[in-house]
Formats: sequence, structure tokens, C-alpha cells
Amino acid sequence: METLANLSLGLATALTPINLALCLAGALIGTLIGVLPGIGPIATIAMLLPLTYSLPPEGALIMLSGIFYGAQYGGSTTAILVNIPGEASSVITTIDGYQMAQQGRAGPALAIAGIGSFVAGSIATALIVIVGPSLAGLAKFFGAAEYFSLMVLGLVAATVLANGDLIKALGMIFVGLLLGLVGTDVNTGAQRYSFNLNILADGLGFVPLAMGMFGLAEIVNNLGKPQEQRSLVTAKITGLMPTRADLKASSGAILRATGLGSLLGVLPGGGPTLAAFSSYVLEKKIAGASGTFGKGDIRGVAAPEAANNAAAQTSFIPMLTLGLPSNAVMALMIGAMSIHGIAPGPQVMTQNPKLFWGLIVSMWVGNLMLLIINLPLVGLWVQLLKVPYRILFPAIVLFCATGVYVIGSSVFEVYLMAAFGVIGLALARCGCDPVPLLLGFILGPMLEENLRRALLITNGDPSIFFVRHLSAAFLALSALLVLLALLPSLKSKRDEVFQE
Amino acid sequence: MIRIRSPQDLGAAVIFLVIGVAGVALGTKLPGMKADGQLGSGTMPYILSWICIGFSALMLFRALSVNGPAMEAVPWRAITGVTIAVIVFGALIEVFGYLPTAMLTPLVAAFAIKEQRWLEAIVVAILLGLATSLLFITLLGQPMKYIGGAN
Repeated sequence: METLANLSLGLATALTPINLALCLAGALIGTLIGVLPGIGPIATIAMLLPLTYSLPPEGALIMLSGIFYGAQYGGSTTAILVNIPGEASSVITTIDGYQMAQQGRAGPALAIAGIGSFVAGSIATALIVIVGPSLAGLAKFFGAAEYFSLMVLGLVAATVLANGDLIKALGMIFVGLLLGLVGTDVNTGAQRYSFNLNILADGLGFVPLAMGMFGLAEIVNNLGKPQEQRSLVTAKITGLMPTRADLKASSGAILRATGLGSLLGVLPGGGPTLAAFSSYVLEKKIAGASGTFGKGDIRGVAAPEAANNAAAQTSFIPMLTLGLPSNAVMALMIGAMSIHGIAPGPQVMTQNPKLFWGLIVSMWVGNLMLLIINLPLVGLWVQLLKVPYRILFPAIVLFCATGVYVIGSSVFEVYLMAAFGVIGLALARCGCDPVPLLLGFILGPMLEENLRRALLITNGDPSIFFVRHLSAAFLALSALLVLLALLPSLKSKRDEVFQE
Repeated sequence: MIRIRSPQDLGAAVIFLVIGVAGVALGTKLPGMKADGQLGSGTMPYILSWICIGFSALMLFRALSVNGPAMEAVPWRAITGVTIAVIVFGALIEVFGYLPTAMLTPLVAAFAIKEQRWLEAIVVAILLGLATSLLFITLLGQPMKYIGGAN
């Protein structure tokens, strides 16, 4: 009964004309961004934060989450049509999707990507409705020690499961944690690394850091690359609907991918990209010799697309119930919530039920919208790919600068963004991924606060982290993950997976 | 003769070192661990800074012992154009107002590409300035002036 009441509250919030419009706008902008290579969802959300600044919090979050799952859709469209993954989570879709397009089956590929995403999104949304409240109930067992250990686990998992160099990623987490400590120490009032500047008393701005390291650095990176030759699919896309055989072949894959994706989305450090990769590998294994993976197997499109959408949805669960981001996009959402004065965590559900349930229902509505609007718009998105980057990038630079200025009302933050842009590029040149840094930066202050609180309770005895069961379990799991990742045999396997 | 086997790792070592040393040096005056085992405001910064220095050493060791990819060329023109554009935005916004700033910023950014079509860049800059002014000031009601200095 309670679930029904919650859902109706969510429906009442999500279906107001203004929120519907914001959901649609978010989904459209997200698709647009997903289609354009070179601007990922992280950069987009960072850049569009200022647009949502003047909106009510529900509307702002509904729009931002629309951008997030819209980007998953848009990314797959270009992956199938032009062999360019719009963003990381659709890289794997290019393998079979583009093959299908070359065989004249772009229509069914796009349709199955849409249907798979919608089915996965719907199931994942239902999961959030069912699991969300009980997980938030779990939060009452969480004291300072548990929060600290869970954050450690989240940071470790994010590094181990993400691609790239493990040692550098771990190092970047510590750099992020350190940067997060700049400003006034909330416990003692001492100024840390603020050079007695008032503007730094509140700490380094999250927005200039994210926009600099992701927005600006990405622009410069793209400009540094030689102009890509895009081989557009010139043949007209006909016959959009998949055949009965297509549907039959993909239904099992979609369901399995939804399960796997939902699970990986909840895990700290998981998320859409990992989900897409794992489900592709799983389907390939299940199909065995009967599969035509790599040569245009429809399951190779259905599975990763369903998985990445399911993971995109369920990654909201730890963010909304425990206030912990499972990936960088969720870290940005936490930033967005703080801008609107909402502290993420289990209390959101009780103190702000309209926001919580409205956001969840709007995810499903957004998925439905995407299914309806996306297929007819395929032609438009392909046209859009022809807009040259030399016109796009000055606009992105202007948006970044304006955004930072509007949010911080300070020229200093604009300069800070420029500095972080340069630093972000330097890091990228050295093979250091800025994503772990961002996670560390967001979690740094929370991590320290919970550590100190836990030590305060025990008069400085650190054994509390190992005596309390949940906390000990999280720490043991973190240690295990690091050990496994460092084992030579597993390390090569991990490298292999990311190579693939 | 020392041979650098992995330039990227060496770069990472330098970055970690700079951050770690800065963290230790700038945090010397912060109070450390208290007698009762409670953390002082300087404890975490101190520990984290030293961990960064540790990672720097690890990266340096790897740079000298394991072969790694070469450093990609730095796109100097792109980074200069984009960075100066952002700085120009910061320098002008409170002096001349949003509209002129929003037209100049994309124009400066356009220098980031070598083969720029300047007529097109100018038209794009003017249109962008007008569109974003309308969006941010009129539609979104942000407290900026179309033309003129800050209040």
C-alpha cells in the first residue's frame, strides 16, 4: 500500500507539465550530447548545472537525470550508424551494431537498442521502487564507522573496476581527497590551504574543478586529434521494425543483461560502461559457436544497450539512499543536490518524498519519451554529426565560462576553471584518469568527517572500524579487491577485458 | 646514464610529487594528532600529502624500470587558445558586461585552430553572444548586465 501511495506521489510530481517538459528537455539534450562524440555525459552535466540553477530542486534533478540516460540512448545511435560511440558505455555496441548497419539492418539494430533500453529501464525503475526504501531503512545501521568504511570500499571499487592504470588511479584518489580538504575545517575552524583568501574558505569549487578537468580538458584533447573521417551510413534507413526472429533472439539477452546491469549499477564503482562490457562478454559465452558476434549478431546490440540503461538507473540507488556516489555522474548529481541545498542520504526519502519519488517516476517517463521520440529523430541526429567541431567548441568554451561564473558569482572561479583545465590536460597526457580524482574530491570531506566522528565516539581508538561487523566487512572487501587487482594473473585478465 | 622507460609515468611522478610536497609544506602550521588520539585539522592533509609523495616515488621507480607509452604531443595552440579565452571572459565580464564578453570569448577561443575560417568564426561568435545573453539574462534571469560593469 505504501509503495502505491509513494508511486502516486511520484506520478503527481513527475507528471506536472513543467516537470514533464524538463524531463523531455533533459532527455533530448542528453541524446544530443550522446550523439556528439567528444562531449561525454560528465562534461554535459557539469556544463548544464547552471541551466538548472534557477529551477526548483525536483525539476533540476529530473532534468539532469534525463540528460544522463538520454546520453546512453544517443551514444548508441551513432555507434550503430557511423561506428562512433557517442560515449564510453556504447563503445561495445559499435562492434555488432555497425556490422548490422552495413548489412542494411540499421533499422532493426536501432529499434532493438531502443526496446532493450526501455525494457531494462522499466525493470530497473521497478527495482528502485522495491529495493530503495528497504535500503534506506538499512541506513539506520550505519554509524560513522560504517559510512567511512563504505566510502573506502566505494573508492577502491571505483578504481579497481574502472579501466586504466590501477596505481595511477589510486594515486589520483588521494590527490582528490587532499584537494577536497581545502578550506575551513568544520571541526576546528582552522583554515587549510586557503592562503587566507575568503573565497577559498568554503573550499575549492566543485563546479570549476569538474568543468575544467572534464569540459575544457576534453575540448583541448579533441582539438589536438587529427580530424576524423566519418564514414556516414549513406543508405536510407528502411524497415525500422525488427523481425519476429530478431525479437525472439534478443529477448533472453535483454533480460539477462538487465539483471547483470542492475547489479553492476548498484555496486560502488560499477556503472553503465562496465555493465555494457560484461553483458556482451556474457552473451558471447552463452551463445558459444551458434553466435555470430562481431559479424552483426542482434544480441550484441540488445545486451549491452539493455545493460547500460539498467545500470544507469540503478546507480541512483546508493546515491539516493546512502548519499554515496557509485560513479562520477552520481558524484555530479550529489554536487547538484548540494547546490540546491539538499544533503543526499537516507533522509531525502523521508524529508523530501516529493523529490525522491518524483525523480524515480520521471526516470520511467523519460525512458518512454526516449523510445517515442528517438526513433523518428534518427535522421536529425545523423545530420547533426555534420556540424563541424570548429563551430561547436567555441560555444562549449563560452558555456563553461558562463556556467562557472553564474554558479559562483565570482571571477576567481572562472580563473580556477582555466587552471583546472590545464591541470586536467597535463594529467591526461600522463595517463592519469581524472574520474577517481573527482570521486575523491567529493568524498574527501565526508570521509574525514566520518573518520573523526568515529574516533571521537571511541576516544581515539581506531579498532571501532574492525569491531563493528558491517564496517569490518566493507574494509575486508576493499582489501580483497586491491589484492585481487594486484595479483598478476588477474591483472592480465583485467587488462585483457579492457583491451577487448 | 639513467634511461626513462616510461615518460608518462615520469610525468605522473612529477605531478604527484608537486602536489604532495605542496601539501606538506603549506600544512606545516596546522595542528597534528592530539594526545587523546583525536585527529587535528592538519592530520589528514599531512597523511594524504605523504601518500601522494609515496605514489610519486612508486611512479618514478616504474618510469625507470618498466617500458611504457611515450608522452603524446601537447596541443599548445589549442590549450593556449582555450585557456586565454576563459581568462578573457573572467577579465571582461565585470567590466564590459555579458554581451560583449560572450562575443569576444568564442572569438578568442577560435584561435585554438590553425586553419580557422575567420568570417564564419565572427558570425558564430556574434550569434553565440546574442543567444546566450538572451538565454542566461532574459530567460533564466541571471544577475548579469547585458552591457556595462558589475553593480
